[in-house]
Amino acid sequence: MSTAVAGRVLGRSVASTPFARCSRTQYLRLRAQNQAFRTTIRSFSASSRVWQKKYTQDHEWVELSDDGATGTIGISTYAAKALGDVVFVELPTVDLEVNQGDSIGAVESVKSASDIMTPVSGTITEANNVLEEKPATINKSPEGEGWLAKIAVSDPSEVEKLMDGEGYRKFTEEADEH
Amino acid sequence: MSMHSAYLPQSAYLPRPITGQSRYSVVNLVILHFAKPMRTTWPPALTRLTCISHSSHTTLPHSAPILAGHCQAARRLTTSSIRSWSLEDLPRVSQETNPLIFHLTSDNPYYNLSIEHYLLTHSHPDTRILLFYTNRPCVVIGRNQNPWLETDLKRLQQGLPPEDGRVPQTADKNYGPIHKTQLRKNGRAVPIDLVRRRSGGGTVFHDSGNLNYSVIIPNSKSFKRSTHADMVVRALSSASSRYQFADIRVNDRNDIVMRRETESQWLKVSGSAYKLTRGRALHHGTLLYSSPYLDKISELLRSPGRDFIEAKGVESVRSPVGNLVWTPDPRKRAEVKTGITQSIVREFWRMYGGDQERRAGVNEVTLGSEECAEDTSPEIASGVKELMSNAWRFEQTPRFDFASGTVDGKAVGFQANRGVLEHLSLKSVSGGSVERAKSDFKEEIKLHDVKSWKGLITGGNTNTNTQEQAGQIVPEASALARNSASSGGGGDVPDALVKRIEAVFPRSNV
Repeated sequence: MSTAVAGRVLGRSVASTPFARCSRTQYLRLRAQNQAFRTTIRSFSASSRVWQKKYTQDHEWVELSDDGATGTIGISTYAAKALGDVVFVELPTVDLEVNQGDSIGAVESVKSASDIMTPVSGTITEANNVLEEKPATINKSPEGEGWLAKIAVSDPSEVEKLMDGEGYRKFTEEADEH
Repeated sequence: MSMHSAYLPQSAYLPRPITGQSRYSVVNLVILHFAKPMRTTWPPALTRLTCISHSSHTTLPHSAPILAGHCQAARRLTTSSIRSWSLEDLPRVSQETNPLIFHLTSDNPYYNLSIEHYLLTHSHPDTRILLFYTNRPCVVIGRNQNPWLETDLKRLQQGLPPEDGRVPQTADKNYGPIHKTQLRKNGRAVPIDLVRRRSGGGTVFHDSGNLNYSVIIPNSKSFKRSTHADMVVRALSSASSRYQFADIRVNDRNDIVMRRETESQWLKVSGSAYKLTRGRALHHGTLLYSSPYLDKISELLRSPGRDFIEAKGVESVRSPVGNLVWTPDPRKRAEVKTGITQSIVREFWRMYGGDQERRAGVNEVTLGSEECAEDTSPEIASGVKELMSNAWRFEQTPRFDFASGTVDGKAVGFQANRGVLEHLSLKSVSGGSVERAKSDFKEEIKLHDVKSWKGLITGGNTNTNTQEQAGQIVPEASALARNSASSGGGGDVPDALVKRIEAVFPRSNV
């Protein structure tokens, strides 16, 4: 379990290097060599909060990297279901500076065009270009491969105030009762 | 009080209704002078406000159907006609007053969409809003669409024959006697705007015979796309004897379709688009109640590039269209519009108004183009500017590929993203090819602004004004050197091929 989680974190840190698309043998070699892997094991045992997704009332999530500097943003499964089949995703441009709540793009489904607001303030570092070719990835894996963008977080404390998984689940249940 | 000499809209110069007018205008002028001033552009405001208190069916000039429509709409409301609040106060007012109805009087599509967006983003989360507007002739594409694929831009630039007295001829034969189209010999072409809206969906055509309705409501779980299309159908059904259809319903695409008495074909009279943001939902739709240009819609929305373009983004779905009720008389058309508007308002109020009374100036309000002035509302003004910009209209286009097919032994292909050329190739049947990437060009090539396709493809830099930058014209020698060796792989491009490209990508004249 811990290796799986650590591997995922390593995967993300590897992804930010030029070796993002290396083969399995290369990956294994990197894993053995990479210092980050060892530090990761240590920080994991220190606190498990960092890998949790946090949610907004607008149904976006943010997941911080292990060093708390970068966040990955996406929409929740609840939102993806409500939207229906996604046909197009407007992604933010890299280097866009945003404040919490600003629009960073939109998702157009057969039902409507829905704005995506950023859960945290910061600067966009990457957009998930897979969505340009395969917008349906959001429907298949909204909280995994269907991530929208990565952001250099300017104020990590903003994340603290968002809902955790359990809180968000309760929130959506209440919303459904309306 | 300073008179602000801004931006008077075109409609301010329309001849105003005359009988019984001046008496009311004096009264309103007096009251306005002492009332809390809301805006500094007076003349258009007066035009609108006096219009509300106009109470007789006078002979209205043909050119003021919009004003006439709103005059009659407001006539049935209670007495006070002066708006008691300004759009700046919308957050507060919408919290206290719910629901709200707005009638927009401008026919400028950029204004109307910007006001609509402002209402969507600044109204209280629980408020329900209904608004109506009618635009001058324009083609409106969805947020993520491709203008080169959805419409014939060259055809758009030609404009339309003047509306008055014009009778559209379509396959829809049963709406009354058809007269030969008569163009005024001295009439100038009516320009057609190209507009990209903020909501999703496909491409539609707007003109004075098309009523746009918008509903803004909380984006809750109960939000269904069909709810307000059903509301409009109920409103229209209640007056079906007046209109010329036997059946009307919402189809599975949330379009409103109707069928005439003697026909079996269902014709689309209304399409819808949706926008969700921050807990608010916008549903806006068209309604072809009596379009004088109905027969032009098909050709305006058929692009010469449709066989050559492969695009990401959203494609339109073509449907046969029909008018709810065609009448050649603009006055009667105005009456039809008023009747429809009132029916929809009543249905909306029945759903959300509860026991409240509709009160003009309080919860049923008229907004004119003065709302878009820079000093009245800088936010709306900047929204207008954005919608009008080429960056929004053309450079918000998702990635697409163009392949010309072979013409006289040569073929051109390119890929563009955000309206900018990323890759351009010229291939010859004999085997040569010239490939150029974005970095090979001196500057970004914006598709809507290519002055000379021939020059661009053959490698000369003719995208710039020759007078200004004569010294900078340098043939792309490095690119030509990079091509695969063969005769004719470089420069020459047949005129027929250039013509094909120019038909799809004309230079935007705005």
